[in-house]
Amino acid sequence: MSLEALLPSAIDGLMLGFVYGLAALGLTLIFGVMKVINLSHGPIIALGMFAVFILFSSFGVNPYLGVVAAALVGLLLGIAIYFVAVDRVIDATELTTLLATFSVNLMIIGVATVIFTTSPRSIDIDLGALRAGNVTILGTHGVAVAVAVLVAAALYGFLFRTRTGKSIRAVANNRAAAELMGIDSRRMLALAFGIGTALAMTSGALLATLFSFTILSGGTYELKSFVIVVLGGLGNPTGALVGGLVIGFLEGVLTVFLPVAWVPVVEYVIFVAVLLLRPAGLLGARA
Amino acid sequence: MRGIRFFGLTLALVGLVASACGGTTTPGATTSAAPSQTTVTKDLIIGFTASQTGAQNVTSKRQTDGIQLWVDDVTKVGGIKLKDGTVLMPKVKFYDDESKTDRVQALYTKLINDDKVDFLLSPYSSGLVKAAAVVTEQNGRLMITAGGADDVTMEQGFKGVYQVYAPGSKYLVGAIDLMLKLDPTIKKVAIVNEKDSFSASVVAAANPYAKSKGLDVVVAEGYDTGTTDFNPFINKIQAASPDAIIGGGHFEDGTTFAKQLFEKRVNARFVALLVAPPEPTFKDIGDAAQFITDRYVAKYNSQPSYQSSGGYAAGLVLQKALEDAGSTDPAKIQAALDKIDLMLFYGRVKFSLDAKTHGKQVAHDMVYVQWQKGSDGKLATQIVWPSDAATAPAQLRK
Repeated sequence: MSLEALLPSAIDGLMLGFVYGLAALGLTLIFGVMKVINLSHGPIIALGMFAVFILFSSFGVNPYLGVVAAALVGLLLGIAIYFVAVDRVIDATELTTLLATFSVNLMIIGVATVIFTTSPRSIDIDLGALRAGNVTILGTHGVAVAVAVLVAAALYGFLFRTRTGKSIRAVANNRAAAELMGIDSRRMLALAFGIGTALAMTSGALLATLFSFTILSGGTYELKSFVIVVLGGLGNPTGALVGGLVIGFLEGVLTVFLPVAWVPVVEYVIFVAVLLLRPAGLLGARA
Repeated sequence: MRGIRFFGLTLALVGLVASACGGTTTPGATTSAAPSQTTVTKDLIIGFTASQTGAQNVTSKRQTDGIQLWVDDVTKVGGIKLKDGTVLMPKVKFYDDESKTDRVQALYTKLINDDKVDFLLSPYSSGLVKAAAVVTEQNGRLMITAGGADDVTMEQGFKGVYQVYAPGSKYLVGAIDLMLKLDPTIKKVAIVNEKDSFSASVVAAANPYAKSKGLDVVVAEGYDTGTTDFNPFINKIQAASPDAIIGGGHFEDGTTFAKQLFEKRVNARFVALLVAPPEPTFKDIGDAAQFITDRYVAKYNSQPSYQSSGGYAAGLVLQKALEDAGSTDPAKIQAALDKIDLMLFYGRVKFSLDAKTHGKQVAHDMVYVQWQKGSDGKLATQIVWPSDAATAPAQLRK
């Protein structure tokens, strides 16, 4: 295959990698803070897609305002899910919390399939494009990257610069010690779950501005998020962002040399290889 | 913005010759019962599944609308009148298969065993048709397939499955002929198709045909059903600089593929996609089509698509078989279907009697439509191939 495809493919992949990283950030934040593997991550991404879609198609709300609304809904939804499904099993084994979030997954998919059906939807939005030779950067993709970077930066600012963010990190590092310092750990865990869910819904909302989707589309991005999180280091937000970029870049570049259908195979080989050879991921777990 | 004229050539599965001949079968305008005979009116329950949700829902709905329109038309003229005086009033019984094969298998079993429907029509799309065909064959039932073009399904030696659509192997071969007629200097072609059974069978015929015509197939790759990001394929296509792109699959993926090809300003001079380019205006095929079009527009407030016409045609084929058989006895109807050589608004319909390919469509031909701007500046579909049925010459990007 001609190397002429390399540059546009790499750019496309990297740009998508930012959104993948954002989705993985939500998953890894929840794991990093409370050691819960959130199996409702995929349906929540899909809910983000539908939040933007409904606001846009039914109320004429600009899709990017819809992204903000999706994030806010995600925050509240995440806090609700925490208190309904996670809080009472937070001290149980990881398998128990895994099953708790899996049940949330089934409930969301079940109800949302009845409401939205599995029919494909899309948001028709045209922001123009930058073109140079074989490279075309669509405006929608550019905005998605910008939003992903802004959200990631805001998250870092929140976690490292605010008292509440520092409290979340304290709970993540040592919950008992944080409680001894007067931090309401239950509140922080709920907030962390809410933020993780908001990140997932934000990534879903951004993906909805790029591609068509169904209520089942979140599953693909959930699987990608797991690969990214393991690659970057479980519980490590920086690792999730870097992992997202690596997976996005690989997706782009590999398609130049391999049939596109082989890309997921390579991704899962990487997933297994990292688990076997470097289980802490590229940047180490829970940094 | 540099104006690329995007030539989505679709395969409107409409009978090109039929339109010229006006060979419409008028529903219900058939055999009359003798005055002395006692008329017995019976319901004829026709079962099928429709993809009211899922990937096939847009096109499947069109097919269902077509079937329903046929039912309405037959009902309006007093039903299907058999020679023995029986009048059959068709009624449909259908469920949502969610565009899933497992649902199709469960629901066709239910239609046969629980609902005890009299006849079966197929779901829309080859994958679902294949799933339904296995069930109907196992149960020894007849099924007319309205929305399945896959060759492989019809090469299983099925005894009771009859295909209305032209087989997939015919789909893109004509597009290659058209392309080379328009510009014999075209040398490089990219083939990118959905990896479902229908599209695979189309490409399995088109790829060697392209090579036999001296074309260089510079990209040949399939994409998964449900693909939404075509950029990896488009980057490969751009790097290979083909003169033409052919492929696609169904409505959702094909529409997205076409949109992303446009967004990336791909320089191909000729693009032929399966199914997806939005529904052709049925009026293009003349008076025969007008008969259906007027009713369809009145009922659904939209133009019929080729899926709608396929659904209607499937009903007409069943009607003709019932009339010829003069009975609802499955064996007699099967014998009538085997003998059918029918010219409809939809085109010619005749089934293979070979044991291995029994029921496969052997007479139906393809036409190709292109979206072109009219003198009023509005886009409309024009039949561009074959030339003797063309309503406008095909246009290539300069």
